[in-house]
Parts: sequence; structure tokens; C-alpha cells
Amino acid sequence: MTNQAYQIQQFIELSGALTDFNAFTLNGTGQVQNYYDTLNRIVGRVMVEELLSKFSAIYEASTDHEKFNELLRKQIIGDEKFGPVARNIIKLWYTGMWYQMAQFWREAYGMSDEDVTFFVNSASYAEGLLWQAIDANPSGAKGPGYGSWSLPPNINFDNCWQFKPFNHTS
Amino acid sequence: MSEANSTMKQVTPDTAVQNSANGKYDAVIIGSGISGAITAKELTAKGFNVLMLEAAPAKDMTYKGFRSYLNTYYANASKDNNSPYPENPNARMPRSTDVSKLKPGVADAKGYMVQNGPLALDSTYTRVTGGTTMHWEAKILRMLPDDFSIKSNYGVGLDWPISYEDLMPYYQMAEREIGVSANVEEQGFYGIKYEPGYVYPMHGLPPSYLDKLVAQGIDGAEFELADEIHTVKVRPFPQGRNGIPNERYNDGQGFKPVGALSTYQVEQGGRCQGNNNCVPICPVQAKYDARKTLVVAAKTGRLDFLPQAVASKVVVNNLDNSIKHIEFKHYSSPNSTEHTVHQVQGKKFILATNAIENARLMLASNLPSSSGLMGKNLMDHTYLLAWGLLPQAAGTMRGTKCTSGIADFRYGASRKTQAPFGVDIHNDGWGWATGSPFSDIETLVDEENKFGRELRQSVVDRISNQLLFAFMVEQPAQESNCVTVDNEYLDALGNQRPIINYQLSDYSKAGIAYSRHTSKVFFQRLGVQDYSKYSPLDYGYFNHDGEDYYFRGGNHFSGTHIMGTSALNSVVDENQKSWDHNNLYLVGSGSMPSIGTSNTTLTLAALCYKTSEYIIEELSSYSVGVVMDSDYKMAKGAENE
Amino acid sequence: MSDRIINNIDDLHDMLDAAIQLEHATIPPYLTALYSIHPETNIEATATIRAVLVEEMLHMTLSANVLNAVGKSPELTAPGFVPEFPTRLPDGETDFSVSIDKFSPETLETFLKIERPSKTQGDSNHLGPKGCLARTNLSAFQLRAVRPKSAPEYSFYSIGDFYEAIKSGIEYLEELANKEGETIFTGNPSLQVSSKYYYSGGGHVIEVYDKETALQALSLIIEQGEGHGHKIFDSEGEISHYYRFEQLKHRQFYRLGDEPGQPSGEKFEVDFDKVYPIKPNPKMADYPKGSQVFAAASAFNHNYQQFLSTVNKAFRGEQDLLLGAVCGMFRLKDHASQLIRNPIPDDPTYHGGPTFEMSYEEASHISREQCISETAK
Repeated sequence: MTNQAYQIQQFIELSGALTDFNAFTLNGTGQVQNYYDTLNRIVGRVMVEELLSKFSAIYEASTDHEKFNELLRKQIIGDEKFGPVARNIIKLWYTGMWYQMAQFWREAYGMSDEDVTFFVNSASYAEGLLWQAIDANPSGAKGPGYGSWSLPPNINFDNCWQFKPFNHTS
Repeated sequence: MSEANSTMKQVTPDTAVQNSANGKYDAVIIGSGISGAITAKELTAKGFNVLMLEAAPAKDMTYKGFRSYLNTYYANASKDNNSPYPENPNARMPRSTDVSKLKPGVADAKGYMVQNGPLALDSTYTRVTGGTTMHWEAKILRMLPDDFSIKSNYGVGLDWPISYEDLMPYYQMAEREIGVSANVEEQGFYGIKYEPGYVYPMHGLPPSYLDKLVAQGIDGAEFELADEIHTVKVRPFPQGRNGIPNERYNDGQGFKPVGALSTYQVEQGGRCQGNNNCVPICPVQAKYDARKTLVVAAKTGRLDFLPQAVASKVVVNNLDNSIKHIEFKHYSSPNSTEHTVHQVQGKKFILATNAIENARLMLASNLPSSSGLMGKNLMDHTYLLAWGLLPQAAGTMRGTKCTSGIADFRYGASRKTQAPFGVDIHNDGWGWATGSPFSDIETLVDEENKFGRELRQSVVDRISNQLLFAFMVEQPAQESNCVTVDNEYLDALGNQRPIINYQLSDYSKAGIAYSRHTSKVFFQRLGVQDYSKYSPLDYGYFNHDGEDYYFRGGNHFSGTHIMGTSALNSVVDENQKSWDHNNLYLVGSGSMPSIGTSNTTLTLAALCYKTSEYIIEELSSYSVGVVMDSDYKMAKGAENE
Repeated sequence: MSDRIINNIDDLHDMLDAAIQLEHATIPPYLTALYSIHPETNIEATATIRAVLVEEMLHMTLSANVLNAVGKSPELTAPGFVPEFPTRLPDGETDFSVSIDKFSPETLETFLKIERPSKTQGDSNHLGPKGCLARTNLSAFQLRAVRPKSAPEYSFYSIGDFYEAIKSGIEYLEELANKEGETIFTGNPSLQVSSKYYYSGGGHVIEVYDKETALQALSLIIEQGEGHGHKIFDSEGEISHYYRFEQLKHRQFYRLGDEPGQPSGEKFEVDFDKVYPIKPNPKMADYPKGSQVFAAASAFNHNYQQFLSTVNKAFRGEQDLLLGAVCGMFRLKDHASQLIRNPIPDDPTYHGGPTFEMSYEEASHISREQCISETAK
């Protein structure tokens, strides 16, 4: 596996842990590469690598999902540097939109010219996970068919992300 | 079947000028929205030649052009009701995102419409081919018979010179043209009546799951108001979008829905798919928009369509006060203000822009009407929003924007003292109030610090459980609410921009306050957690009897050139003909003296049918020689092509 | 032997059953090609395939109406109804195979072949029933529409000849019946699917009650597919499937009055790179057991089977189900799209795709939850 392929796989896993959608669903949006590239372009390769290796370390150090979540919250979500990046990854997946980083973060860790609020591409809007979470179609796309709105939504967690003991060989 | 159906004959300014100098045009229509489109369709069908000026470019008549709207919408970080439509400095349009809180006494000119206050009005319209029907929601209600005489019945606002009964046949025509989906047996309430045996072109759209939950909770709730009991019942709305054709329509002839427009064949739009995006753009074109009417007019070969032509002046013939010609500015590209100025004429002039632009153009032409009422009596529906969370997932964010609502506060003796209102149950949740669902994700992630499973569960609980009631409150005519113009405010082509002077009366505020009261009772019955907030910092904020509220504009501009019984009390007569200028018609919701609690489009479309009938009669009554002359020219014109 | 292909009502039933199977058989290839296209790209190609797909569903419905009208119910759930892909179709003297594959120049060629105007066999010297010829590779053909029941050693020259045989069969049998004061149109009229239930565009459904409406329905199928008299546009200005696809090849639209091969309308782009690399004719066996792709592909097949079963019920009198079936179709689209965007775990140069393998024995036992739920990676 090339380094980039490995990085992307880690990015998918991190995204899964943050969003609670499994790799199949994330791939199914067709946006993995786009989001990975966007992230690298705006926050920089070095920071992305740092973030992903921190994530790997947490994964390896965790024995169960509960422990994993605790470490994830303390070391990434609650981290001055990585927290805002992680939250942006979540929002990116849920909405398809990159949100401009907070001013304090921009001043401390770099101000990319591309760091403005924007939809990654015209398809990313329709691929926001928020719609899948609530079993609705994105407003303005993927119309579910005449009368579908009359039935109760089928909300389930079948495609959730699951913590599994980390496997270095995969 | 969707055939290649959107071929439109576009003319150049020079051709239009030459044709009009040769007397080709029976009518010059300004604007390609629903009013202009219906009038053009009716006139061309009867053999008359029409020139139509449209301020916007006309690329949107192709499927590709339409898709580019969609792409703009998908990629636009803002999703306001004009977000799919490109900025055009030469024919700007109002956007709700331009509106902010006004400082007392200071006009706010940052948007296209200059907000002169005291309250800021965030209503919009769309200046593209097809007009505001491109972004309209397409809930399509008839007015109540009572609404036509509120002055006589309740002592407020103004009466119409005609009645519900007078409009009935035209309501039918409008419902056919728009292709309305509704069930008659669910719509005949509070005086609304239909011809015996009438059915709508298509069956009613199914109500949403959310509607059903709400109905279970609030059906049967009773409110005592002005000594009358109002009993609540959730009812479906008539919809201007394609559903299942009713085989009983038109004496068993049935109805054929019109799908997507395209210069080549696409299979879309035959039936609503529930994209939940009627506003600002129906991606499959199952929703009616005026282009569908326009292409029928174009097919006759008698419609000359001139895009990128902004009408700038209506010029009067001093001898008999008739309209001599209309001056327009033609620009070659939205990216440049470079333009040429031309004049066109026809036997009839029909201003069909919208209530704001019709008045703006007349005032900019120094034609305030001998009644002095041009631009005055500006009305809109004022909306109060109330929102909260249901105790269970309601499948919010699915279906058309709004499938059902409550009509039980639209009528009654209380109209003497407080404004009546209709209620919408919004299938798109809190979107209008808070920017949901995006704002919910921001809150859950950035403020509530959720991630993983906890986040995903919260997304469900925070979004799928949403309930928003939009209370559409009547605003009666009031002369101080008005459109004006001033040379201080010009657009890129040097045309005067509309200035909005807007205030809410105590009558309106009392209606809004009572609507808020009903929302609390509904929430109590449903076990809804109330999230409504009306901040003093909001641009629509006001305080009434010690309580905070805000209002939102309903995008139902009307009343700026009202119809009446004489040149003293109105701008136009019951056929929307100017009292002052006998060859000029101002059509659209600007002619309506009152708007009740119905979205205005169906009524203004009905009025257009009535007006078209009248214009056709007038044109036909000219000497036979004239008609033959125009036929002759038509044949000549065809030869030359 | 008689060169008449349809000699009795059973033959007719059999041929119409085969027609429904045939019309359906084009759906998986069109569907897969359609969903292989990257979102927001290839707008015209997407619109074209979509339009044809919708009409194929109409054709299936029309055939079902004809079958119901002559007294037999369609059987969309019968084993073998969904062919195994690739599957063969006759194309005059030769034949070609239809695959489940991504949108590509090759796929486009196949689509053109599927919809190609029939070259009538004329007065050739072939022995056997009208419109038929003997083929050496007959065993390679799986679709029932290929072989006349009365002469299984032959195959139809083209799909057009197949439909012509049905039409003349109807005329023949109805004439015989009329002589006895009877009719072959003995079906229950309430089973006819009306346009009320038909979803969107694609022409209106013709309800079939007699010979006239039956021939109308069959002619509509032929016309929409191949075009009328090999013309580009039909009398209502609608363009046939064949020429719709040809536009994609020329990257230009036809206008009224154009000659075949020389469109003069609007030009547009077709970008075959903006397509997911689906494994051609994927099988469940290509996906590692236990992978999310395997689970999703298996769920898709299960849902597709349910979709067919719903449509089957709708054709057997429960018309209201058609509305729900359409919503099911929309959901299938989402599932297929997800699958198509996922690389195959052990073979990442290829992406997954729906396999359309129906499992007739265990169908009723698979629950949706089992299929979609997370499995170890």
C-alpha cells in the first residue's frame, strides 16, 4: 500500500469514528478523495499526517469503544490544535461544506487563502451525511418519489462505524 | 412524454423596433413571469402578435440552462430563495440575505430594494425568464369569498370591484394552466365554492407523515374568538405541481401534466418526487413555472421574445393620454453596463413585471396615476414563525415544502379587530427560522461538542423531530405602505430602484400576537418543546403589548396599482386597465385591493385570464380591416423568414 | 410444419411472458450504466439513458397490460425471469451480448444494438417460421423472447421480428375467435394499469381491452424503441431510443428534418472518464464474503427482488402498490450508487456494482437488517 493510500484509509477510519458512518457509506458518497484533498490543501499535509498518526495511536491504545471515545475526546476533539480540524471534518462530512476555521486557529496555525466557507463541489452538497442520518433526501436532490413523504422515516444505525481492535497489517 | 418543447423565437432589439414601427404588434408585454406568460399565451392563441420584453437573459429555457441554476444552487453556500439565480447588475433582484436591522430614519440601500423603514421587509422576487414562479412554493389557494369585501364586512382595508363569483370561471382556467393537484372535497370550506361537478386537474398530494402526527395532536382543538368557536382541522393545500392526473377532470377527458422543459427530450417532471426544494428551485420541474406557459405561446410563432431588455420608461402621448411607446435599455452582457436605448409600440401595452416593478416603472416614468395611488397600498403577507421539537421523529425534511395547514383562523367576526391568518406546517422544519438543518449541525458540533454515535443520534433528534408553524397573516391596504423612487438610488443601467416604505399596523400586530397564542396551545397539545425566539436584534423585531415578536415577508407583494370602481379610488379598473391611459394594462397582484389569507398567484393568474379575455375583445372589436391587415402582415412575416 | 409462430392462446401467453422478460432484461444494463456516471457530469448522457430506462419500464407495463388482457397474469418472480449477465440478443444474422457494465463507448455500442431498427429478413431463403432463422449457437441464448416455442430450433432474426410475430398472432387468434363469436380478450379489465399509476413521462400507458388497443400498445413499444419506419422522430415529435443513443455518439442533438447520422442540433460533451470503473458483469462471488461491499450487493439484490415482487403484485390487481414500487426504485438507486462508488476490497482497480443475481430459494428468509448490518472487515 502506498503511503497516500494508507493515509486515505486512516482518514476514512478517523472520519468514521467522528461521524459514526462506516467506510462503505463514506466511500459511497464518492467524496473521500475530494475531502482528503481539501483538508490537505487548507490545513496542510504536515498537520493532516500528525492528526492521522495521533488517531492511529489512540486506536492502538484503546481496548474498547468506550476507552477509544474517551481518548478521542481528550486528545483530538479537546485539543487546541486538532479539535477545530476534527470538528471541520465532521461538518464537512455531514454537510459537504468546508467551514472557515475560527480566527484564533487561523492566527495560530496558518491562514490558507482557500480557507473560506464553501461547498467542496456541486455534488458534495447532496452527499452530506446529515440527510442519510435522518432518512431524508438532500433538499433539492435525490427526490425519493411521489408520496414517499407520507410514510414514517426509516431511521436506523445499520451502517454505523464500529470500533475494532486495530490491525497493522490491513 | 416530454418532447423538445422550448424553442423560443428570440428577436434582436432592431428587429423588434422595426416590427413595431411597421405596426406588427397587437400587444407589447413587459415581463415573462406568470402574468405576462398567460396574457401572451391567450393573445397569440387568438392570432394576435405579441412582443415580450424580458429584463433577464433567456438561457434558462434549455435543460442545460436550467441545470446551471441547479449547479449554482448546490454550490452556493447560501441557500436563500434567490440563490440559484445568477447576479445580474443590469436587472438586480432583492435577496433576503441583503436585509438587516434598520437604524431609525436611515435608509438601507445595500440591497436592490432600498429599505426606508420603519420596518425592513425581506420579501423578494426573481428577475429571470419565468419570473418569480421559478422560486415560488406553489401552494395555490383560492381566496375566500369574504376576502373580496373586507371593507364592507369588517371595516378594514379595501373592497374589490368584483366578487368571488365573478372570478370563479377564471380560477378554473388558472387551475388548468398551472396544473393544480387538490381534492375538491377537501377544499370547499368557509365559503369557497366550486361549479357543480368540478374536480381539480390532478388528485391532491398525499399529506406528509409530519402532517399526520400534527393532525393527531391538534385536530379538534377549540378556540373562542369574537364569540365564535374556531375548531382546528389540519387540511391539505392545493399544489401547483404535478401529481396523479384526475381521470374525471374536464368531463372525463382527464389531464396531461407538463413535465420539464428542454430543447431535447428528457423524462422528468411528470410527477413530484418530493425533492423538498420547491423554493428556490424544483430540480425536476414537476412544479409549475411560467416558462411552461411561455413555450406554448412561442409555439404559435406569434410571440417575439426579446431578452436582456429592461423597460425604462413609459411614454405618454400628450394628445389623448394614451401610451405612445415604451422605452427599454438593451444590454449585451450581464457583465457590462454597456447598453442601447430603444422604443417599441403596439396597440396595447401590458406591464406584467410584478407589483414592485410595475409601480417602479410607472413612477420612474413620472406617471403617479391621477388617483395618486401608484405605488401606494403596498401589501404583503406577514409571517410569524413558531418552532419546536416534537417528542418523536416526524420525518421532517421530506416531501414538498408544505403539504398541509390550518384554515380555521382565516375567517370570522374577529376580522373586525385583528388580522386573520392561515397556518402552514413546514415539511422543511426550522429552515426558514434558523437555517436548519445546517445550523443544527453547526450547533451540535461546535457548541454541544458532539461526535460519533452521540452526534448521529442527536442529529436525528434535533432535525427529524422538528416542527415549524408559519402563520400567514393578512395585511390590509394602507396608503403609507408604498413603493417610491428617487434619483439618489439608481441601478447599473441608470434606472431608478424601488424604495420600500413599510410598517405594520396594530391590526396586523394583533393578528400576529393571536397566531403566536395559538402556536402555544398547539405545542402544548403536541408535547412540543418550544424553541421560538424573537430577538430584539432581529430585523423584523417588534414589541406588541409587552411581548416580543418578529415577522418575515411573504414574497406576496401586491396592491401597488389597485383596482377599483373609479379613477378616483384606484389605478386600474376591474380588467386591470389603467383609468388614465386607455391602451395600458397593469397586471398582476399589484391590482389586488386585498389579499386575504391566500398566496396571491392563483388569484392574479385568474385576473390575467379575465384581462386577456377583455383585451382580446377590444382587439377584435377594432375594424375588421385592421385584423385582416395584421393577418396579412403575419403571412408576409412568415414569408420573409 | 406451419410457419405460423403463434397457433393458440398458450403460444401467445408464452410470447407475451417472454416480451415482459425481454423488456425487463434491458433495465439492469441501463440502470448500471446510468448510475456509473459521476454525479453532476455527463448531463446529456444521463438524461438520455434515464429517458430510455423510463420508457423500457413503460414497455414492460404495456406488455403486461396486453398479457392481462388476453387472460394471463405476468410472472416477474418466476425463476429465470432475470437473466444471467452477460446475456445474448439476436441482431440479424449475428448476435451480441448485453452486459452489466459502466457507461463507456463499448456500452454505448451495445445500447445502439439493443435499440437498432430491425432489418427485416425479407424474402430470404431461410427455412422455418417467419422472421426466424436457424442459429448454430442457439444454446447461448437465455432469454425466452429469442426462440419461438413452436419451433425451438430456430431463433428470431431480430427483436422487431419477435414483436411482429406477436402482433400477427393476436390478429390470427382474434379472427379465429371472432368466427366462433368469441374473443381472446377475456382478461379482467380491472387489472389494466392506467396512467394514473404510471410515474413519469415516457408516454402514456395504453389500457388494453381489444385487438385495436393491443396492437396500439405493441406498436408503441416498437416505435419508441426503433423509431417508426426507421425515422428519427415519430409523428408526435418524439425521438426513438436508437437515435437518442446515436446523439451521444455524435455528441450532438438531432433536430426535426435531420438525416440519420447527421444531427444538426445543440452540441454537448460526453466524458467517459467521469465514470466509476465497475467490474463488468459482477457476481457476488467477486466480492469478499463478510465485506461491506458484499453485504451491500446482497442487500441490493434482495431489495431488487422485492421490487420485482411488488411490481408483480401491482400487475396482478394491486395497482396502488405501483406508487410505492416507484419509491422503492428511488431507494434502489441510492443503494446502487453507493455500491458503485466503493472499490472492491481485494481488487481495488474495480468498483462494485449490482449483480442482479436473484436467489429464489431463500428469498423469503433474508431480512433487510441482516443484509445491511455491519460485518467484520
